[in-house]
Amino acid sequence: MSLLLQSSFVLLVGAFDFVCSVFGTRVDSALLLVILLSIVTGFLMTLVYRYASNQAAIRIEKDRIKANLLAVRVYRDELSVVAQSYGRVLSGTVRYLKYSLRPLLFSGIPLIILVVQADRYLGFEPLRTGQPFLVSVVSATASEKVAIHTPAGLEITAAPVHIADENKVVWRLSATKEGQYDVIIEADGQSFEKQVVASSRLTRLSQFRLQAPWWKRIWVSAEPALPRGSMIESIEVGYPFRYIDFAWMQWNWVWLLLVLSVASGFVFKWVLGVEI
Amino acid sequence: MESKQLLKTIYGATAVLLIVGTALFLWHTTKHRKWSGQQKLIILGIDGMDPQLLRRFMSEGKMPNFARLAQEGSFRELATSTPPQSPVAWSNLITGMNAGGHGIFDFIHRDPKTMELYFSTSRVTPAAHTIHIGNWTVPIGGGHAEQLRKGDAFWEILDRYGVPNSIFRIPANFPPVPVKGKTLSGMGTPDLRGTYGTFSFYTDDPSTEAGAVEGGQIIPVKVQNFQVQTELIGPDNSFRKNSPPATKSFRMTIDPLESLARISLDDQQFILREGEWSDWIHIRFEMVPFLASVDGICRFYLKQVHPRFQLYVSPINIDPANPALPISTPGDYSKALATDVGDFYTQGIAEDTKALSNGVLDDDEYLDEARTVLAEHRKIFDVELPQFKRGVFFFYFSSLDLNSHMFWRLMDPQHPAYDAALARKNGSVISDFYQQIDQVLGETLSHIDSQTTLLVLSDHGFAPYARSFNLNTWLLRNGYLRVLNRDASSSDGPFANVDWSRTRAYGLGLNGLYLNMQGREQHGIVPAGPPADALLREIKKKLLAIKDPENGFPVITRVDVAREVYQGPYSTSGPDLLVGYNRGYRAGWQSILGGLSPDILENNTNRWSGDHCMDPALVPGVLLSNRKIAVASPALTDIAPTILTEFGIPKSKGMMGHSIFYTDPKPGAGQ
Repeated sequence: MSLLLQSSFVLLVGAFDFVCSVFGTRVDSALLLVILLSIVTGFLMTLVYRYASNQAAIRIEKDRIKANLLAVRVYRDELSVVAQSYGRVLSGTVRYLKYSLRPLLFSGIPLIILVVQADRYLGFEPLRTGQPFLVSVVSATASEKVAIHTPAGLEITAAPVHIADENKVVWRLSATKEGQYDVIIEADGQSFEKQVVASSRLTRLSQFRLQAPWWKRIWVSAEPALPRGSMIESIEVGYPFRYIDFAWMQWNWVWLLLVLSVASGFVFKWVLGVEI
Repeated sequence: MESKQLLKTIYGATAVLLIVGTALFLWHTTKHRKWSGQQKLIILGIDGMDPQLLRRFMSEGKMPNFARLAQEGSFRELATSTPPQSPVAWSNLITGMNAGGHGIFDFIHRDPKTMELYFSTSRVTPAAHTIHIGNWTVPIGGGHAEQLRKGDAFWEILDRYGVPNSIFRIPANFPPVPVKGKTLSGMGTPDLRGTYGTFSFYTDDPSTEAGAVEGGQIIPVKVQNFQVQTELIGPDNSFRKNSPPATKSFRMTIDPLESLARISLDDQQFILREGEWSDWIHIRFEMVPFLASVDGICRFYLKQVHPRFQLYVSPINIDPANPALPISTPGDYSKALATDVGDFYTQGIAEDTKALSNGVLDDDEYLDEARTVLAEHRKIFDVELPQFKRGVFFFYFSSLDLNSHMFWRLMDPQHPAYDAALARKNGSVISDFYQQIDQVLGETLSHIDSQTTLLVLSDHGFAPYARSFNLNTWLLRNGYLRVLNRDASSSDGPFANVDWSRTRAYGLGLNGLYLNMQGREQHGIVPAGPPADALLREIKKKLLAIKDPENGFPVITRVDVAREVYQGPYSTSGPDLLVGYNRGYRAGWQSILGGLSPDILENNTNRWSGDHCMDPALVPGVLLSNRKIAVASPALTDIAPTILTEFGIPKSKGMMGHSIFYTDPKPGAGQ
């Protein structure tokens, strides 16, 4: 399972990196990527629905529901007929949902993988030069002995804030030039690297480096796990959230993907003649 | 009627209609013909630039660009408005009329029927009708922001004639009048709470009194386990019953040893060291969950961490990227500008002079902010000036005015608030800001070509404000104003203790004196006509006779009867007398808002130590141009006609002055 997941991640990362290399420098690159993803998602979801569902059964079920709704209107004076028809509409809807469940199951897992990987690119913005950002380190025990070392291109702009309650130390850094850097966190004689990206283009970001097992890491981290049993539990880089301007509103990319992929799905339904 | 006759009548009527229509069309197109020229007019509006200081700094070699402009072009003193207050003065410039025409008499006006005070230039009103459902209020229709200045702004007229125009931060233009050109509102633009700026100061110092102070709010906090949990106070939530203010929680985590803290607000986290300002922080106040919210921006300043926690938060400004109230034309221009230059102060008076006056910020802390404000203005200027190709470009700078108000005391050893130690450190602040404006002029001069006219002007000059004259206390002592209880304090609100049934006159605003007139004020007792005229003459004579017992100088050098100096439909809507103080004197703070002080005259030891709300003749502004100014004594009301004349547009009805470039009305300019 893990190998399958990793393979799909590698494939997706390759595809995303290729797309980013084509239009990653554009101001609207995030919007373009969401639109592209929405078209692909809409198309694939429609195809999956077409081949994973019982199209004939769905058609019959929808016709039955329509017939019962018509019966409600035509026999509105016959209470028993109306009640019976409502009951059939209800049971028909349950059956219709059952027919839809299979394609949803088929498309759900790939969709989650897609969203998780896309979030690396679209969830946060890379740091800009001169923009202050925070690096937070959570350790297993009291955090006085944790230190940070930065490469050329990154500078520490304030002393660390120690938050004893959370075993956390927070530094404020800033990038003097664009680049992909590794900051080194030193604790208890061990040192750990954490990637930091300062860039003006759309690129892959990893907000966290964690010690947690893979099923927890896949949601927020794109870096190898911290060594098991080490003093450091997590290292976080505070990338700013990304909001995408679309239709006079600022969108979280996931909501925008949902709306646009549903819209594109309906277009492909009509083009491919799929019964939904 | 026979059919032939009927046909004749129809043909005749049609012909007449055609002729009249063609004539009307020709008249309209001639009158409002679209301008297609290439000439350019750049105006730098430098609030509070004083001719005496300018001459001094030029002679000291500190302002080479101004010296060059004065030498190669013209330099005149510019007669200011009556009274010489910025909203009045800029309205004179904008409309070419005095207060009788544009209706702005002071920063503060009053409703004579209720004696409620309001800001003179704009008003934000909530929805007129609402429905209450439990604790919620549903507005029927929207509220709106209303511009209270009357008369056409010169750029509205330019717009009608197709002259491109860009007007940045001009005072008394909130909400901005609807035009095609780019405008950004300036002085008069409120913060998100609808005030001229309300800062917040969070502290655990028990010796600091909590509550509202002028221009701000002191909020007590507790530091527990190195954490502070508190709230930002936002705009009133008109969706809730009784409109309580919307709030936003935030948390600060203090390092146990070092002087710094992490601040967490929504999904934002940032670290501040002691003595450090944050960048602009975006805040969204939720009015109705998921349905309505209001965006603002503010800056945090961590004043002290140990031993006492002190955090200053600037007034919450309207977010230019998502403005809750209109601050620009086109409406989305402020967003485009924020994308180009980053977030910026949108509040009309950006420098937090009240925080300095109240001791919440010290001189250096205030100066950090004041320098940021000017840097932001220069950034906008640097982006916009190169884009200007033809028509009119106006840009306003506030720095000289506000910093002359706050730092005159360190430049003038005679001032009661002079401090030699502070003067050694910050005694050159005013000169430094003048030199920055000289740099702005240098940049502008590099954009001047043979088709460009340049005007550099200020609305008024400056003078020391060493002594306060408490007009209402003087009126009380002289029997014109009566109180209900002589021992009551005036902290209950404006005029709270005034006995209107026996009061004949009251002071309000920086230069205004009003009679308690029958038929105008709710409890007016002075009959209009000869009794009122006699009373005005009596008060005027007594005011002009006042001498400062400390030095024997006259306190007031000029008193104008409003209806004698104002022209236009609003000439009787404002004060009845306009009090012009001598250089060094000004109305006391309490008197401005209708309050009473123990003494008639007192030393001004406040950091607000320079002023201009005096006798207009003593505080003229400046006018410089790269062309020869033909008029010997130009006035602010000449500027709008000058601008229009440059583009061949006749001045509007009510405009008082004429072009400064011609001694006689320019032929064909329709003067």
